[in-house]
Amino acid sequence: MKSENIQAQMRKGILDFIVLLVISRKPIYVSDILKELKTHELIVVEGTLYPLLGRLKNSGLLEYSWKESKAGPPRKYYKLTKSGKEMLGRLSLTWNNLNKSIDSLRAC
Amino acid sequence: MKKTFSITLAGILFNIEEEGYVKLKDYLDSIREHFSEFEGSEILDDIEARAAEKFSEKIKPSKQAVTLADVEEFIGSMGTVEDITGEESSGSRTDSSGKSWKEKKLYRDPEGAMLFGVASGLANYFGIDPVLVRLAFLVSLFFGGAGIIIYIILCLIVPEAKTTSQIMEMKGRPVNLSNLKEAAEKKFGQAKKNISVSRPFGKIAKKVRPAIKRIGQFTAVILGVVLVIGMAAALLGISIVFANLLFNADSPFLAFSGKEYILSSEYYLAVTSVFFAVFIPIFFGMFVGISLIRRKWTLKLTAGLLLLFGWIISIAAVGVFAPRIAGRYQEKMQNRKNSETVRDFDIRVQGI
Repeated sequence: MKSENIQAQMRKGILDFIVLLVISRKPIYVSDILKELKTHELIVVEGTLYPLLGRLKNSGLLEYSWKESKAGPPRKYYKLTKSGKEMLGRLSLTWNNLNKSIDSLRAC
Repeated sequence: MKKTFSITLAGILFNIEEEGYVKLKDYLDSIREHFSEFEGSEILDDIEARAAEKFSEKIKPSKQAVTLADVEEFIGSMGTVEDITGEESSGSRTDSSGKSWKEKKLYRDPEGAMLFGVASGLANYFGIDPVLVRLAFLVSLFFGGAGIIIYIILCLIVPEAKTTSQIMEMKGRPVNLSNLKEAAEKKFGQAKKNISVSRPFGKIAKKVRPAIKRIGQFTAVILGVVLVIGMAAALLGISIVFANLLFNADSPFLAFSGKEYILSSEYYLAVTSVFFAVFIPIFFGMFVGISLIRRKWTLKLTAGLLLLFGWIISIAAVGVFAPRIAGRYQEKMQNRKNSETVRDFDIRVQGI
């Protein structure tokens, strides 16, 4: 197994969490999600977001509204639903716990 | 000048150059295939909307159509089909690279089969050309026929690769979701073609036809081998004979009478022409044999025409020289006979 594969798996695991986190700030559409991630040094291939967002929406964690745009077709602006916010809370907790465990592992 | 297609992406009209259209269609179709009806259409709508956005930025009065380069740029920023579809199908990843080399399994191959797929299956397993395997079996016939017994044993023991996953195990391709889909699609495409052919005798014909076809092909290959071996032997034989006629004609070991009378430049020309007149058809026969073995016509048109031409010339040459030599030979033989009878007569007369 190459290290890139393990690293990719690690990133994939938290992608849902990251996306929910970004959307929780304000209604946002795909291109801006990518830009936001990039400023925080998280590079994601655009194509992977579409299936992911579709899945989250179908699970009831996201909802979207249409906004007209000058240069092209209308855009989907996503925001968290109530269950989305709850899920985000749980995932944040999971992340914090993991973080603590790893820190303590490394410490000894 | 390029042809363009008129397409809509998310309700927005675009003119797109033909190459760009093909590439984009391919990309979108591949993505669509991978998802279910329900979730797939939504994902595709999103991706198309994004394409519409990106392409809109590229269109201006001086550039009115979407080009292949635009499409490629779009696909580049979107990610490959694998990137997009890989995210959602975690169940199909056997190992993270997804392209693990798997041990091949020995099966009989029904698709590449001539009789029962033994040779084809072996060829798949070892990664060699099935023709070589078949040749090996046929050659073994000349060495005590062990090949037949081995063939029959293999036929009984080795299973036939019936299901798609078995066929893939036979060829050594990893059995995961995307490969299975590919294989199924290929099969479906072939089945569609077969359905359009009408079969007058239905079920019986279905079973008998492929068997007859295979027996026919098998005999053809055997005939081919026999031809090649036979013709090669003939070629060798006549080459020796004619070489002797040409270069050793004056050797005392060659005993045909009257040769001292016919050795001349014409003789050599005549022999050479006869040689080619015989050689070329035998050579051609060998090519027929090779073509039968390879199941493909192996002689190029120009080469064939050259051979034909050469043969006609040699026949003509024979037609010219042979009578002359024959005539001279007869003449000389006649003279010799005459002189011999004269001598005889002399002797008898003297012996009185």
